[in-house]
Amino acid sequence: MLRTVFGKTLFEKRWMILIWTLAVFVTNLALVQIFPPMKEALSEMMTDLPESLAALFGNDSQALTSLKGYVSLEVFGQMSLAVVVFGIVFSSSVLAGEEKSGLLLTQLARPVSRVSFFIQKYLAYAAALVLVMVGFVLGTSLGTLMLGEVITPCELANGAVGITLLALGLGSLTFAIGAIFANGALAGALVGFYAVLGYFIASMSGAADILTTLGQLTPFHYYNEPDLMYNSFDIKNVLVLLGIVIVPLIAALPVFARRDLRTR
Amino acid sequence: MDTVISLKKLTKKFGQVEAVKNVNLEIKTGTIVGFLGPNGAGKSTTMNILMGFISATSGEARLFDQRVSVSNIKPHFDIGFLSSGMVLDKSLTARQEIEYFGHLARGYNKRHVEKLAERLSLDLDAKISKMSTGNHQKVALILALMKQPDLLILDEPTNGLDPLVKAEFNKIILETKARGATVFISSHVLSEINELCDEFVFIKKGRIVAKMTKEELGKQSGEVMTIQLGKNRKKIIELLEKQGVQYEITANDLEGTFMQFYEEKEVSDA
Repeated sequence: MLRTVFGKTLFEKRWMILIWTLAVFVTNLALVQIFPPMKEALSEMMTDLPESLAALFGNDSQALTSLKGYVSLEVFGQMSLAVVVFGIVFSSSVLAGEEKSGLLLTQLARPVSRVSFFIQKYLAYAAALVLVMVGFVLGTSLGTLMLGEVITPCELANGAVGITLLALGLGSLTFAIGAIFANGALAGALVGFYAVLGYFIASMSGAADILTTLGQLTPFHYYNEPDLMYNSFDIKNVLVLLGIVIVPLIAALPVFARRDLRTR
Repeated sequence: MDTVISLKKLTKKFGQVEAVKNVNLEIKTGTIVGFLGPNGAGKSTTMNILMGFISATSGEARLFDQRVSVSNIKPHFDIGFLSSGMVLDKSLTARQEIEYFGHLARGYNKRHVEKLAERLSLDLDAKISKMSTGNHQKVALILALMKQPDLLILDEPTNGLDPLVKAEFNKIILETKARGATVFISSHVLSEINELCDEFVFIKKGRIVAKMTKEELGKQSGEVMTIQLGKNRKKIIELLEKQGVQYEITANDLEGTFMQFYEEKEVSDA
């Protein structure tokens, strides 16, 4: 593994990746397992809710009482934030963090171009995210199998690809801001704030028109909107998410390749 | 002799501060050039420009006749670089660290690395996080030397090294020169690199204030010979007086005592 920047990054972060993968696996498994005792309570709660509050759950208020609906809203909905947090933490440290510590200079004193370094670091982040998502999908699948129900691989893939694109996008933004300003903490804080705010705005977008409009400015809107667990991809939403992944990288790469590095 | 490093009217500004001002310098193949100046004189900034970490505000830097830029990595294939505050990955062992950087440099020679580690008394299987500053610096030295580069750029390389390892370091640098390589070495202490260098460049507040060969420096400062006075103390002094040589007797300095102690110990161990 210690032959390339990509391999070394994954090796160096192996414990972080392993712990997050296991944590997501166990959490998803546990979340699915609590569905049977929650089913009745959720069903009663949804019928008792006033219309205005039920609107907060959007069109999925009835879906909460089926396993598929519960997995879609609770597991894929709530846990997407955990995956996003992993993405922001990882991507803020992987390049800008190394520049701050001085390790970047030690590596760039070798014949490695900045472009190659940038790309390998981002690919390492993407690979780490995929590994965490493997834990996500396995935990969910195993949980539903233990309850005697099957969610098809296609349905799981729909949800998993959506979360992966969402976390890749916010990770790209963090990575790019860190690479431009040589400051991972600033990048993590800015994107973290944007992600949390965006998550709540997108979650409550059914409650008021202004929230619906603002929700469109958050990547969560493009992840939540198509009910990925049920439907095939809405190509427009996927393209928006892909744009959020690619545009920050394209903007940051030339800046990182030309600017003065942080020296001591 | 070919020119390995060429700086023409090199200037670097950080905001309003001019860290390097109009520097002109040529370094020929096979020489060891000392780059001297106090802290903040512009030594590291010049070396960072040469390494492509930062770009010059104006002027030109060339390595092996290729223009240096932040995007040109070609010269890096033939350079070994070391800086005094070089950061290493603390999660790795020295061996893992060296292997990784060896692969990045596309020139990892296990046998050569082990030989260097032996000469510098470095345990390659020790974790970087558990290492002293001196051992940390030894790993950084091996990283610079492992590929047997044509040019060594060393920014205060002996920081944290004990006198014994410094002596071994000096030997390695002289061997590097003997195989035809060029060494550009910075320090703020002349006595540390005096023995090594063929030429000296003095920089102050970003400007080069003097350039001279070792001979010229010797003439300016007067020649000094150190004689350890032992049992023949009286005879030696008589001889010096007879020859009309000016002399001064001083107590052995701490570094000399330290070296003497270890050298004797090594002999008795053997």
